[in-house]
Amino acid sequence: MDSSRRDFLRKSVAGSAALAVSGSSVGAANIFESRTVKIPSASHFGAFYAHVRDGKIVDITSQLDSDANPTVIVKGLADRNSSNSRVKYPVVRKSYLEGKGRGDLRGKEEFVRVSWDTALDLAADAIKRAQKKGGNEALYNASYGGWSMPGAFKPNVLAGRFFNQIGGAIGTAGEYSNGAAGPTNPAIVGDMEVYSIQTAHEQIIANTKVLVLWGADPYKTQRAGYSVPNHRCYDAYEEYKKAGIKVVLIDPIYTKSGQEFNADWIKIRPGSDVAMMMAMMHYLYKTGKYDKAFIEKYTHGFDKFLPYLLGKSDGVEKTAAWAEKLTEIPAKTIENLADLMVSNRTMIAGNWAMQRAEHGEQVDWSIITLASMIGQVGLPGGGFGFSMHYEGGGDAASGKRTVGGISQGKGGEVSLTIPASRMSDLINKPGQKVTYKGKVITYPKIEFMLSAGGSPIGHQPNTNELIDAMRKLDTVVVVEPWWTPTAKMADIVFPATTTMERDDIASGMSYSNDRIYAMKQIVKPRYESKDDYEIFTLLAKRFGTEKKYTRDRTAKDWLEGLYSKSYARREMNITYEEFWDKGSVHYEIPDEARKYVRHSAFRADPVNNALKTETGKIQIFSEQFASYNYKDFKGHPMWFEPTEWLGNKELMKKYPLHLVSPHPTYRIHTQMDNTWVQNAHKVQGREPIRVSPNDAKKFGISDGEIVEVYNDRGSILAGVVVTKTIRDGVVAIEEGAWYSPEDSTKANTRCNSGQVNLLTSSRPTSQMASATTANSTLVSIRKAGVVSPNVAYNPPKIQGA
Amino acid sequence: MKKVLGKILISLFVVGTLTALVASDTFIFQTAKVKIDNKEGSLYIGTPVKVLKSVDEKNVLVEFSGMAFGDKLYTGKTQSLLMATKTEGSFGDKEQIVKVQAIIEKGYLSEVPEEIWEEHEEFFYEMCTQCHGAYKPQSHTMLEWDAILQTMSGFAQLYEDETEYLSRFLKANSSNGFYPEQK
Repeated sequence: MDSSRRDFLRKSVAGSAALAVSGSSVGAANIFESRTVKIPSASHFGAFYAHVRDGKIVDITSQLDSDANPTVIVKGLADRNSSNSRVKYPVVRKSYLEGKGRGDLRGKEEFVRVSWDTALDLAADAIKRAQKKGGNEALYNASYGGWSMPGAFKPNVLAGRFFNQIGGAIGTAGEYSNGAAGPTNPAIVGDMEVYSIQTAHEQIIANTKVLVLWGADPYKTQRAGYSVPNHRCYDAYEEYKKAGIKVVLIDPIYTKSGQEFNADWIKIRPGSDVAMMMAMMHYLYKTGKYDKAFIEKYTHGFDKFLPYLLGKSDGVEKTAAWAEKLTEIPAKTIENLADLMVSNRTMIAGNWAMQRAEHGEQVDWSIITLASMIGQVGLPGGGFGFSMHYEGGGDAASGKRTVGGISQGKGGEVSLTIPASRMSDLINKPGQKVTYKGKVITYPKIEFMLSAGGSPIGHQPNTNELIDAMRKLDTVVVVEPWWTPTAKMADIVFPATTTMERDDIASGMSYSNDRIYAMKQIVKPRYESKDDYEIFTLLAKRFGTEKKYTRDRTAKDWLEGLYSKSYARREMNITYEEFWDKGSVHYEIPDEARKYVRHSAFRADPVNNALKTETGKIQIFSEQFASYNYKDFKGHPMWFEPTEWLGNKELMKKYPLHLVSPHPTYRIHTQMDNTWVQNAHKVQGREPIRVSPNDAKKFGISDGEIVEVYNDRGSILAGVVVTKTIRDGVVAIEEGAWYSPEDSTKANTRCNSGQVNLLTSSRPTSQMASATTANSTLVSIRKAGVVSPNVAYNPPKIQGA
Repeated sequence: MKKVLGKILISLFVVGTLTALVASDTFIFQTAKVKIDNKEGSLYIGTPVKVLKSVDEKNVLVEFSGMAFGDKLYTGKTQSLLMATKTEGSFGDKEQIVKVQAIIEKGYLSEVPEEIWEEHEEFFYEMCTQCHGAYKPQSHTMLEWDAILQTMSGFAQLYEDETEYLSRFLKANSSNGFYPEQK
């Protein structure tokens, strides 16, 4: 090879974009490098640097001093920023702009480009019209949790702040993630528990002999975070392996976590976990192996639960043989697992997916009761935890303050909230009632709906039902950087900037709290997009509340104010300018924190460190719960047979497969679905469906094929992945693919893209929490027929674009 | 009955099984030092009291009921919401519901709950709506608030004193707090 070619190759490898350089110029690569600026920011996938040249992002690399094990997802952020799926200008749906309303045409007709003022005036008028018609109870702020990005200017908060200052709006109670367990656990164990810091990795590594992953898949879920992930847990998991911890995976899928830990696989029938827990408790009781002393000293109501367990109160003894029929797990396996757990220091890592099913309220309660009978709650490396898979669960806490975010302020007169997954009922059933934690809520009549920073056509089960409901409203407004499926269903869409187009500030992580990150503006806002903060300020102006909204503060004022409360500013004396210049501040984590064991204080002194329950103990029986007199939720944990599951022989004749819809591997819900990262797993551009080899044979389908997955509620296309890692009778489609109607003029048209919620039901968990039951779904599969292209990520038709 | 000018009659008597809280329209505006049994004590912010009579220009005699736990008086068994403390002696037998009288400066009383909790409320909405919408204090019992704060104080990154401060506000205004009618 001649020298000039060697030079060329060397320079290409040096990392710049493709160059056509003459071999003699040694410094060519350096010229491009010197014109490239490195700008720090942070995301739900990790802290990163954007490499910017001539105003364009040419690369994204991770901040390796804050991200121990970067994920490829973070590299897709640049693609998302310049994606054609961006909302570019304010637009209004054609018939709406013409004053014809015609909500029935939402999602079916073109948009018209308008000026910012026109769009804002129309939105403000719609709000005032709704207020006139039904008061502020006619306004629905569907902007849900703060998951859109880790910064301080969360769109849902900015929306809530706006509504609070004009009299309030209907909001959300609880959530989709832990909608059943969250409201239930406080009365049982004196804490929500699902988000609580459980213990430090060090404690598990040193003490745990058996780790039961009850549906938890930390290798997957820890890739993304509510804050900015540090991915240190993966290093800790390597230590778990070295420590020789025996891992048992109870899951219909042999997940990545199962594979990494080489776990024993108990391939349980979805929806039957509580039955297995009951049987284990029965076995521990009958053999006398359960911890009597722990039950007596630390729990309340075991004597009221026992007759149920032994079959004295309902005639059904909860034996392992009984559970075998329900779980399809051999009785001996169930009993052996109970033996293994009670005779070794065992940590039960519960998940959240199990409680997103019928009677979800029973799941955590049963795990807590089982853990109580095992008696290791409060011991290092033992007990139970529902957050081991979340936010770096196991991270030790710095104990120092990082930064918070903007607040929504006091609620207006109207502060009624409805349980999260009741969205369609809220719109469809004004005047009707829903129960929630012993209370009764009456649905008001909604005229106006706003969604910012989230996509209800995405997280709400039974998409067709929601689409139908949204077509009944007077006005739907969406504030979004991208043409999400929800944006396509709106009347007015405002283009918002992305986090790469403005300054913000973030922390990491929820438990470690050891980083503050500057989220610096990387590129100029594209097209006519404006910051969410500016959009809501402009809206507030039309109500005379703009001064209240901003308090005359610029974005920078807010960021400085938030930073000023941090340990970095107060104790370490790092000025805002110094922090902003450097890009991040780091805190030390004290050794003490690595010793943290949840409930150890309670265990040491249950009187002075009583739990915040009515009795101060773990409530296996709750008089409060019993007093609600619900038919599907009682005073102690129980097995309630689901209606939609593999045990329903009638329904299985039509729909023989149980569909689970786990959190995605390469997204946060719908986020990042419009980027090249999805190519890592999509099948012919559709969301994959995992099918066992036996089921693939039964349905005559093969790996890589597009099929139609359907039930009474809807149908979608999905790409087949045949794998031995899923049990027979169960299929899995990760949630979050962008909905793409094949023919929007037809009701219940097939989704081209693979949005799993067309198949799930919006039926509530029980009268207790009325939460989501997305994981209680049966489906069937057939050939797809004619397959049209997936246009989920294309903008809609726009006049004047 | 002896009548002594300037001296205070102390009465402590058992009220049986009455609930600790009675309907009231006067409340403690700011935690204050008071005289109970002619000894030092404290009445805590938000506690409902009934004004019996003026003692002098500055002070009044008030009456209130609570559940005794040694030198502390709570609203109920869970010892979640503190009403008063004594520096010496006890309020009664454990878990006994007692009526207590105290002398307090008039300036510490208010008939407008909103006024009492203004500052707390602002802090609550500032710290507790950064990720999700606000939950009205009345939407939970005081025990539920205790439970929820355990998880949430970490996310809101509250210092211990801030958690105490917020906890007082939330429990006083909870569904079974000092203002049960406000639902």
